[in-house]
Amino acid sequence: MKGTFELNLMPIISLLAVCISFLLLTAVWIQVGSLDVSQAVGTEAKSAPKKTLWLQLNDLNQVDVQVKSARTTRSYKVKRKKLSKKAFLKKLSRSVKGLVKKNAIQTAFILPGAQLPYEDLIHLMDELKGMGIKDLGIAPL
Amino acid sequence: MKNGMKQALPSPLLESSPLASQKPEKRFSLDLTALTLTPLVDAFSILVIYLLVNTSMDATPFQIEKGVRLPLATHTQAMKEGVVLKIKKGVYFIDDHKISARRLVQVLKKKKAEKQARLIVQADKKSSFRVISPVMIAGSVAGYDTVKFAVIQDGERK
Repeated sequence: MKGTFELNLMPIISLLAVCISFLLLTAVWIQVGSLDVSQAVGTEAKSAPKKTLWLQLNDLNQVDVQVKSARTTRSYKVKRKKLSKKAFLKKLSRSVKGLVKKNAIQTAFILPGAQLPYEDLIHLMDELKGMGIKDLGIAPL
Repeated sequence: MKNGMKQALPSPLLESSPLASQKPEKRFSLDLTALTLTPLVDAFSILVIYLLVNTSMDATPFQIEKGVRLPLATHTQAMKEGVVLKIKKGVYFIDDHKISARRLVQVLKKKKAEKQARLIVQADKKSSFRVISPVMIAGSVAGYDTVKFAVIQDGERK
């Protein structure tokens, strides 16, 4: 005697549809992270100061870059000229990256101007973090 | 012929006549019983597995304020719990309470005493540094050695 049977798939489909709906509704699509900035709190450091990078910018038209060591200070200027904001940030990033690699810099300070947009500051910090800067500080006004 | 009745012969033109009744043609009909549901179940299963693997269920420790657009960044760290200081149109908020710039140090010191070790700043990307700076000063005075700037993780620029 031959018997044929068919598995009822409708409940499985319903269950999977509910699962998909639940996952779509509860999933977190926007991931919020943080960029950390070290602030000067505590006593003076006892170890010998290493080379540090200082970036001074009032707006994104010109950035004064300084590489400071215990004895010397070297200054550079990165000018925007007629570049777009994005292109200038790329140019600045390239210039700073070269200095960071050459001098094995791990500490950087940003001295932003009052009018500097928060978005640009974060972009700069993000670029510096990407270059391997471990300690990043921002000088308040 | 039986009973003397004559049976009329069918006309040979009957079939070609437009008035002649025609049998309905067999049209295509969907046979629901023959619909195979197995590929649908497969597709749903793949979708469920994809969603389970690729979506994070971690809840953010704070709500992003309405009207505040956080900046994007790639080299970020995971957000942890702490004092969330929101800056909205130049006004400071802690726990949804409006705080004046003068009282920032006092409130942050109180929060630090409550063992809230991290200071998280949530500001709109179009804010100027003028409104961020007092927070950094107050944070330093209150004893926070690290300030965390809340950003949205941008995977595209990586």
